[in-house]
Amino acid sequence: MRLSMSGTYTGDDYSLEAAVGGESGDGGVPHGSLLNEFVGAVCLHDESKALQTRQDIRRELGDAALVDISAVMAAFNGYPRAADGTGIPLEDYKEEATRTMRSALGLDSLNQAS
Amino acid sequence: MSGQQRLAVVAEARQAWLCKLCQRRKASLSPYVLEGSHDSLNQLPSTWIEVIHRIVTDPGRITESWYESVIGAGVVEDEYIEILSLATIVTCIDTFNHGLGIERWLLPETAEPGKPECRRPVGAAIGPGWAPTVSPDAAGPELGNFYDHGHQYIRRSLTLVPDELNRFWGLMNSLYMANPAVDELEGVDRAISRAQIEFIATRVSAYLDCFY
Repeated sequence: MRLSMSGTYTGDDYSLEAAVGGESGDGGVPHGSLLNEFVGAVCLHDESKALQTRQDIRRELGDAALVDISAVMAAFNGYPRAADGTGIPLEDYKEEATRTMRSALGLDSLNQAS
Repeated sequence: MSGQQRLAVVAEARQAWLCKLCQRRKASLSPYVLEGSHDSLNQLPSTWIEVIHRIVTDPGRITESWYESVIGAGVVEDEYIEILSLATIVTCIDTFNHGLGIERWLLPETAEPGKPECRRPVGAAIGPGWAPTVSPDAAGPELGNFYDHGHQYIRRSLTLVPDELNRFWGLMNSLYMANPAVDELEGVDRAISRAQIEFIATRVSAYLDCFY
């Protein structure tokens, strides 16, 4: 949702499918493919891929970017656990604002487990 | 929770990534059907271990009935929130280190002695999710000025244990941004763009099966 809002704000068109699905595209985000690979490597604990993509990020985006990327990855290992661990729902206004997007991306099925 | 228990929770959170049962559950369409024992460090009650492993390895598919089952099995609501916070904080810090390619921090072998205060803040009530929280309207002095920085539902999640609340948000504010709001798109001073930040955030959330 926030990525979508960011695109609306800047006038860019970002593909949420690249971020949410199993795609490896860049989603219209600069260096999106590289970011996608790195996030996947870290989240899936793929050490060799993490090593390679980390080097690519340092070369293409710089060390400061690596710190910020790592910080955002760390933060979003936090918010979802706090929300999902306590059953925190979306606020009504967020639910309303994201209804079409969630339907298109199949997000409503993510937290249904048996 | 005592200091030694807190250390054990953090160690168990790291251990969870090695648990074969959790790996099978994560790969399963029906994670609550699979039975078995966790590969644990065996320093904590089994219900605590179950809580820690679910929170670490498959948080997006935690259900209300599972939450109620662990509370019914003896995990005190306040303990649950403290466990949730500790397991989450260490996961965040380890992820940060992993991203940078540096070693995980070593844990101390012993904790400082002392007893937990076991104080519950005034105004705690179940909602807006399954666990008791303190709403902005009901917040007492224990929460200080916490809600001055925003009152989205996510900020209520850990309010049952104010010390953990402050630890968690102190970390989050440094890693991401203080009081993130949907329309807060200016003044982000980072080495990557706002779009890149949100792209990473969305991607990580998707790996955790979280749409929040």
